[in-house]
Amino acid sequence: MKKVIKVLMVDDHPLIVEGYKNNLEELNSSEYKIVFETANDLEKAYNKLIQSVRTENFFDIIFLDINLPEFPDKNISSGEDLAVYVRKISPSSKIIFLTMHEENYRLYNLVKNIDPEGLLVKSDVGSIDLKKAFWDVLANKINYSDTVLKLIRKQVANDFALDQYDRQILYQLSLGIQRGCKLNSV
Amino acid sequence: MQIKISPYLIFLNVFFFLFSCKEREETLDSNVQEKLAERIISVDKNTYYQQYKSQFLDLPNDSLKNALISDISYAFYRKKDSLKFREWNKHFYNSSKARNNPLGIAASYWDLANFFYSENIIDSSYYYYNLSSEQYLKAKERQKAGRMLLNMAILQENVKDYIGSENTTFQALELLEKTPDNENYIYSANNNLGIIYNGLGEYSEAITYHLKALENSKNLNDPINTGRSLNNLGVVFQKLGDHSKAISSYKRALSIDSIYFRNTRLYAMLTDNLGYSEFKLGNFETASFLLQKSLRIRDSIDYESGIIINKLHLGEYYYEKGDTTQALQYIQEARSLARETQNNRDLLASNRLLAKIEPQNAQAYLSNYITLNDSLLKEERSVRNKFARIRFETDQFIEKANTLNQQKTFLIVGILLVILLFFLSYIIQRQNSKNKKLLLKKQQQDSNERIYDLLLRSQQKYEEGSSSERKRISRDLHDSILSKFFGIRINLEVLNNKRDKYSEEKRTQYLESLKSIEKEIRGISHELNADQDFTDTSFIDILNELLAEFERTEELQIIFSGSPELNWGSIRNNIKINLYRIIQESLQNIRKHANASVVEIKIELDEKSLILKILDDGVGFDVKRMAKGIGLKNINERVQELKGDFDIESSRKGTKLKIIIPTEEK
Repeated sequence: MKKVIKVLMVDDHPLIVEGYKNNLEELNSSEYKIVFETANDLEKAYNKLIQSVRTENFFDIIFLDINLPEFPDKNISSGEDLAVYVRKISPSSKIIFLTMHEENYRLYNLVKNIDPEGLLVKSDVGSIDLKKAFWDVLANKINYSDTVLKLIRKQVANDFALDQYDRQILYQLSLGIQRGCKLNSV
Repeated sequence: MQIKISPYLIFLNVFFFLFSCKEREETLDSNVQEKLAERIISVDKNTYYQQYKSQFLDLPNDSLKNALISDISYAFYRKKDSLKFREWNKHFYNSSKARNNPLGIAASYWDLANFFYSENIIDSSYYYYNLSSEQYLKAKERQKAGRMLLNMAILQENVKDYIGSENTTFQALELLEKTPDNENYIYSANNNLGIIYNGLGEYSEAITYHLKALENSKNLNDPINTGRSLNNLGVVFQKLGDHSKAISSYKRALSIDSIYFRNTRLYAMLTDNLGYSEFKLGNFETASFLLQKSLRIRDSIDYESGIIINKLHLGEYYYEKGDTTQALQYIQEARSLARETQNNRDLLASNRLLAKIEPQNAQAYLSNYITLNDSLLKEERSVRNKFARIRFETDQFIEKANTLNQQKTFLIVGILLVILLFFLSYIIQRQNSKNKKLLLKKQQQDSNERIYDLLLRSQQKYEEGSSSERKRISRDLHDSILSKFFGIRINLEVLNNKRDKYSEEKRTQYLESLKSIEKEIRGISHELNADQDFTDTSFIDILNELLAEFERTEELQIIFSGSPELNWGSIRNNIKINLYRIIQESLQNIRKHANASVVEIKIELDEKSLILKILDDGVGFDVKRMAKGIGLKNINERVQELKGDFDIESSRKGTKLKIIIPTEEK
C-alpha cells in the first residue's frame, strides 16, 4: 500500500503551481503517492483547508505563497494569515512558505509567528532544493533556504533582542505612523 | 496841634521826590545827537532853539535819541522851564511809545507827575504816578512801580486820606520787598506809615513805624533821615503830651554831627520844635531863646512856611506869658504871610489862635476859621474822591486786563485742546490705517501661505504619484515578471533532462512564455516613458500603443472605438494624462482579476464632456467590497481630480466602467 501524501499548493501564478507539480510529481514512487490540490487565491485555499478539516483528510504539506489575492470575508489577506488558520485547525499539516520576499522583517516575522517547517525564498530555490525541502519537512526536519539561514544567523549574532512589539513599533515608525495614533496593529 | 506839624512833613516828602528823580542813567557818547541835545538845553535864543529842535527831532528815533529826549526833558524840569519841560516831556512820551518802550513811557509819566507835584497840582500828580506805576508793573519793574505807589501814598497822606495812604503804602511795600537796594524806600514807607498813624491818632503804631524808619536810616548811614525820624518821633511824643521824651528825641537829632550845615531847614525845625516842647514844660526862657533862634535861622534862609509856624509858636508863647500885644503881633504876621503864600492850614491855625487871643473878635475869627476849614475839608475830600476815582479806574483796568488774560488763557487752553484732539484723532487714524495695512499684509501672507501650501501639496501629490507609480512598477516586476520567471525556471529545470516529445513541447511552451515576459518588460519600460510622449505624439497613437501592448502580453481582445471627429488637440493635457492612466489601470485590473477575453473601450465627446466606457466580459467582482482596492481607488482619485463622475457596475458576466469628465474648466 502506497503512502499517500496530500499536498496543497497555493500560488496565484499558474505557471508556478505547474512548476511545483511537475517537480514533485517526479517524487512519486512505489512508496509514495503524492496527491495535489491547488489554489490560486486565498479564498479557494481557505475553502480547501476547511474541506480537509471537515473530512478529517488533513493535508500533510501546504505550500504557501505570501502575496496572494485576498479573502476579505475571513479577513485573510496573506499567506501568513492563512498559516495562522492552518496552525489552529489543522495542526498536523506542515507548512512550507515559498516567497519572493527577501525582507528581513517579513521573514523574521514568519519564523516568529508561524514557525514554519520550511521557509524558502524563491530566488534561492531550484528543483533540487524544492525536492529536498519536501523530504526534509516530511521527515520532521526544518528546511530554510540560504537567505533565511543567513538572516537568522545575523539575528542571533545581534546583541540586542528586539521582541515582537519592538519590531512592530519600529516597523510602524518606518512607515511614518504618527505619535498619538492608536497602534491598532500592535 | 495837628495843623502845625503837617507842613514839616510835606517838606520831607518833597525832598524824596526830587531825590528819587536824580538817579537818571546818563549814557553819553560824543556825537551829533548829544551835541544837539546839549545845545537845545543851553541855548537862549528862541530861533536857535527852534532850529536845533527841528534838527534833533528829524533824527531817526533810536534808543540813544529816546534817552537824550529824556535828558532834555529832565534838564528843563530842573530849570523849572515848565513850557519846554511839558513840550519835551510830550516828545519823550511819544518817542517811547513809538519805540514800544514801556520803561520810557513810565519815566515820562514819572517826570510829569513830579512836575505837577512841584506845581502843587496834587490830583494830576497822583494821576501820572498811577499811570507810571502801571507801566512799570507791565514792564515787571517791581521796585519802580513800588516807588510810584509810595509817592501816591505820600500824596494821599498830604490830603489826609490816611486810610487810602495806609493801603497804598502797604501795596508799595509788597512790591518793594525782595528787590535789591530797597532800604531807602522801605525807610520812606515806614516814615509815611508813622506819619499816617500819627494823623489817625494811633500813636503807639506811629512810634513803632518811626522807630523802624529810624533803624532803616541808621542802617543807611543817613544822618539827615535819622534827624528827620527823630524829629517825627518827637512830634508824636509832643502829641502824646510826653514833652520830656520829645525833648530828648529833638536833642538827639540836634546832636547829630554838623546837622546845621547838612540841612539848615531841618536844624531850624528841630530847634523850633524843641523850643515849643520846652515852652510846654514851662521852661520859658529856654523856650524863648530856642524859638527866636530858629526864627532867625528861618528868616536868614527865607523859609516862609517855617517862618509862619515859628511865628505862630511865638504868638502862643507870648499869649501864654500874658503878653497879648506881642502874641497878637506874631500871629497876625503869620496870618498875613500864610494868606500871602496861600498856606491855608496855617491861616486856619492863625485864625484859631486869634479867636483865642482876641475874645472880642472871636466871633469873626471863628466864622472865618469855620468857612476856611469847611472849604479845606471840601477840597481835601474832592481830591480824595479824585484819588479814589483814579484808583478805581486802575482797578477796573486791572480787572479788565485780568478778564482779558483769563479769556486769553481760555482761548489758549481751547486751542491746545483742539490741537490735542486733532493730534489724537490723527494718531488714531494713523494707527487704524496701520492696523488695516497690517491686516492686509497678514491676509496677503495667509493667502501666500495657502498658495505655498497648495504648491507643496501638489508637489507632494506629484511625488506621491510618482512614488506610487514606482511602487506599481516594482510590484509589477516583483509579482508578475519575477514570478513568471520563477515559474518558468522551475518548470524548465524539471524538463531539463527529459528528451521525450511531451517534454519538448512543454519546453517550447515555456520558451514562448519567456517571449511574453519580454513583451511585458517592454511594456513596463514603455510605461515609464509614457508621460513625456504626450505632448508630441498624438494621443490616439499612444493609446493605441498601450492597447496593443496589452493585447500582445495578455490573451485579450481589445476593441477601441473613439469618435473620429474627436479633436484631441483641444483637450487639456491633464485630462489626457489621466485618461491614459485610468485606461491603463483598468486594463491592469482586468488582466489581474477579471479573467476576461474581450475588452471594449469607448471614448465619446460631446459639447461639454468626455465619456469613457470600459466594458469587459470577465468574472466581475463585488463593487462594494472592492471599492477600497488600490486600483479602483486610483481611478476614483484621478476622476475626482478632473471633477468628473465615476460609475461602475459589475456582474458575473462582466464589468462596466463609465467615467464622465467635463472638458471645460470651470
